[in-house]
Amino acid sequence: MTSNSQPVLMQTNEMGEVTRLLHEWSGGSDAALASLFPLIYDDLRAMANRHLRRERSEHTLQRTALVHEAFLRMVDQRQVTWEGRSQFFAIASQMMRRILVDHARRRSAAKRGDRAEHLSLDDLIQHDEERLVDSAGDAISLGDAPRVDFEAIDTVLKRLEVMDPQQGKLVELRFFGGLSIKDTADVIGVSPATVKREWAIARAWLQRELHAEERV
Amino acid sequence: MTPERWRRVKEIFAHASALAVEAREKYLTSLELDDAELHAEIVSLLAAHETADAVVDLSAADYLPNELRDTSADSWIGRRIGAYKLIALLGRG
Repeated sequence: MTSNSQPVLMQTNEMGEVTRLLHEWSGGSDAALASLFPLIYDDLRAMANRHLRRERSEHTLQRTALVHEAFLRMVDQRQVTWEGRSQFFAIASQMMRRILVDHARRRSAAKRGDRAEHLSLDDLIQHDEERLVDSAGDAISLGDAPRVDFEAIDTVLKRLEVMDPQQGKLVELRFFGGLSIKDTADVIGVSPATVKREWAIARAWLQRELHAEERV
Repeated sequence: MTPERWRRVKEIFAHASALAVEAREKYLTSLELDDAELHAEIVSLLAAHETADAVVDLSAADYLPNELRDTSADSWIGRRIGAYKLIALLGRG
């Protein structure tokens, strides 16, 4: 699962901390959530940045679940309850969405030459030509990665959330979290059959709406 | 669309998508007589439902760029670097 080239982002005591905070949060502590948030967020952002800088050492063919990776690294499996796991997935999916959409926005701003955005060289990814300028200033072509407009997806998803908060949550978990049908069902608290049914229509609706925007 | 209307759309979609072609046509015809707007909504959703590779069939992480630092020389062949396209490996430095 984790390769040797991946840095260990969490120390054992930090892992214990996340597990303990998850436990407290399920017990109803809002303060625990406030403490959890930065811990998880920083780790997820670091993971996302590694992917964005193409430092992934594996190219997987199946649906990738970054929140799964994060969960396995950040939480003590021996101590976490299924509730804690579900809560982690929910919050991590939400964070992944925020991280990816924010990154897309910053990149759009860079393309517009928006001076207000302070961007590092790494961030100057030219979307349509998929070229990265490396540290030597030479252009390097990326692979055939499919592209998607996270901003457009976020906008459309927000409209779905207004019509149907639970379905919006489901999409956030499945798409941004990469969660399976089963894990999504556990997080939301419905049957896998319900998730399948809701997913089928959400998928169709999103597909239609995204093509209407002609940005995907 | 209101949440209530969307709930109705979901019900009808679930029902229509489960029907066989002929039964579905009949169902949609009567729906059109009943509520043309709803009919149009369902028809467009059913069409989108047929998409083989929907955007969300992959997860967000799947759309992030592939690993670039691939040490295998073969993977570079055919790639473009600026104005040039790599044709073959001539040698190693």
